[in-house]
Amino acid sequence: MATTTEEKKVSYDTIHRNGPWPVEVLYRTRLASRNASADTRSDALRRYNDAGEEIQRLLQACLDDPKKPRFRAYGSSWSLSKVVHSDRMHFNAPMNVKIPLETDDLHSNTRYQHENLFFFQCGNTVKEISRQLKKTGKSLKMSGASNGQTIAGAVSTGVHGSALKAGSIQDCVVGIQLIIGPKPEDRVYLEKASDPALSDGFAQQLHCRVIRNDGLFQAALVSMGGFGFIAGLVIEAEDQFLLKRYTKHIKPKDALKLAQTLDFKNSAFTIDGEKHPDGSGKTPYHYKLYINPYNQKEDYLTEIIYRHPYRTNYPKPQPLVEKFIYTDMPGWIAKLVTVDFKRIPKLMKLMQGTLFPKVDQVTEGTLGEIFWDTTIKGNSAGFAWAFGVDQSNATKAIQLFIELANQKGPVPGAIGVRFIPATQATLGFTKFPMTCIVEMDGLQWQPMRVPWGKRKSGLGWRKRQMPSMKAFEKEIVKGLQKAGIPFTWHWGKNCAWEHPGLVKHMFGERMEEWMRYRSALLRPETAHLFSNDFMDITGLSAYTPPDSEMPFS
Amino acid sequence: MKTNAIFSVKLRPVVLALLLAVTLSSCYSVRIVSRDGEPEKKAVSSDAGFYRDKVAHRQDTTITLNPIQSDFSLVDPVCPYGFYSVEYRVSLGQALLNMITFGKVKKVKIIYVCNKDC
Repeated sequence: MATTTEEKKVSYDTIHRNGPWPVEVLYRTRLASRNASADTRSDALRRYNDAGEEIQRLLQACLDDPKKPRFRAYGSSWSLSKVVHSDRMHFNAPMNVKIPLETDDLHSNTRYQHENLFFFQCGNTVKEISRQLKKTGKSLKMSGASNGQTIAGAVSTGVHGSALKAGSIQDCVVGIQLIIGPKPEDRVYLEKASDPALSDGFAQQLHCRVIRNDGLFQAALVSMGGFGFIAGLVIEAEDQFLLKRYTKHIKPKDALKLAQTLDFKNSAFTIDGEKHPDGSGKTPYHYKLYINPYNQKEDYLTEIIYRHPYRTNYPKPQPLVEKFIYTDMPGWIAKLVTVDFKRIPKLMKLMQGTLFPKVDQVTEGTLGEIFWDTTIKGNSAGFAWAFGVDQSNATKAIQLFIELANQKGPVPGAIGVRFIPATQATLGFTKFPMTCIVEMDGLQWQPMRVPWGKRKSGLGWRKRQMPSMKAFEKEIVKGLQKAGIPFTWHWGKNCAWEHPGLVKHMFGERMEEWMRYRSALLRPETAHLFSNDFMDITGLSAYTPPDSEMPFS
Repeated sequence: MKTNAIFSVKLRPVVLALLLAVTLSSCYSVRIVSRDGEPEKKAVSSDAGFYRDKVAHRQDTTITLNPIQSDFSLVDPVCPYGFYSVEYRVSLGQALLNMITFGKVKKVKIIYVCNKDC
């Protein structure tokens, strides 16, 4: 039997140190032991269903509590925002059953091939999944820049890479198993009615009722945990392929033109060995820019990756030795930054080798090998911002962000730019036909407090106070709004989420649509159970009476 | 000058102790990491750097061998699915202790992370 340990009154923190935040109860569920004498599939089903019962027991305990605590699951703690924080939190990373699918499990009208479909429990990480798929010569279609997220966390917050054709990680999901309450009928399996994948018979083996509804499925993809406990996901994989990664300097003019058009065929920037016979450039699998916002004279750096057929004889791309900076160094830099923030550009120049990938590198490997492990460096807190704009606004948005960083900052971070085609998820932040994601990763800072009162501007050595992180986030939001650039923001990253009407501004009618589907799926008490402060602040937690037009309600 | 001389004499043992403390405790470490392994993760991130999100087990012990014993194995009781990483740390003091005792007393400091049950 699955077992859960409870820890009361603890602090939760992310791996990037964005907390700590108080948690009333922290649950950790361990799966039932394997039964060596049973066959793999029936044992996987047994352990999976047993874990589902355990989750339902925990949900019942929350509902029975007169304080009506709210419940949220999390895995790798990679989200920097408070999206996963709740009264009661459930650590589900050990829940990593992999259920082998058989031909009979497929829906009679499915377009999917049996060998490309895989069922993973919530706590499987992207790395585990890549390893599992590799055993059968398969691969995920895309991933984020690293591989440590659990699949449920990655899908429900809209993790993305910069794959120009493949989309975000939620776009390879074709079925979702949710636990939406403690009752037997609260175990549901969702699919698109227009694009079924698995049979009712398979769902029955998971003790689930089946709901096939396009709108509900799309709303539940990027749910941030608000649609219930994501117990398992059906993923469509594809045949393994190789990625060849180049890092090159690129003229800002060429980089911005490519950002605006993604027209690699007619670009002045080409890579030897990645051209058509007529000499024009091939369209890559992945295109990313790295920009130091405080040095406009230097070239940008691009990470450009081309897709090639799989072969076995390639050198493994992971390094044999990984070197790390001193654990305390990021902390010292963060302190230095708060004392004299005008030195940030100089520091960035000094640290360029650590912040950006090495130039003129060529590596080749599978998706899982190229987007490999990330190790936390140092002991200081990190931040990450990522907003999405339509590709036609890419240049405008990049320039606006650089101007803000120089005029309102400087702030300690480097800019990245990535591109992702439209997601099918209702609240996926990659909602534009081609979303250009402008992001900044860096060290958190606290503006230095002046103990002797308000600093006069005439003191000379520091005339202007460094803005707080929150103030700078508001400046970005206001700047984009003022410039009339429609935008979205990555759910798992830092943002001025409390900015009035932010989600409505970003998603318009999609916000109400998402809330309607959520209300139709859940009961008032379970809608409360699967809400949290983040959803309250963003206005997503409100329950509206079920819409009679929604057939599954 | 006299004051300085007295000062330096008085300070000498302190400086020596400080130097010894620094040099004997200064250590180097070697860490080997599994490329394809999946580390067992912590429910709540703590610590800094490499071990922030990983469940780290620490072995800090002294092994004494008798005159006819040449080496030893530490048998791990907590990683049924193998190791994700193993880090061995040794300080100058520990190396000296090993040398002085002709290799019979070994201070062992190991930090290791188990593979997740995949």
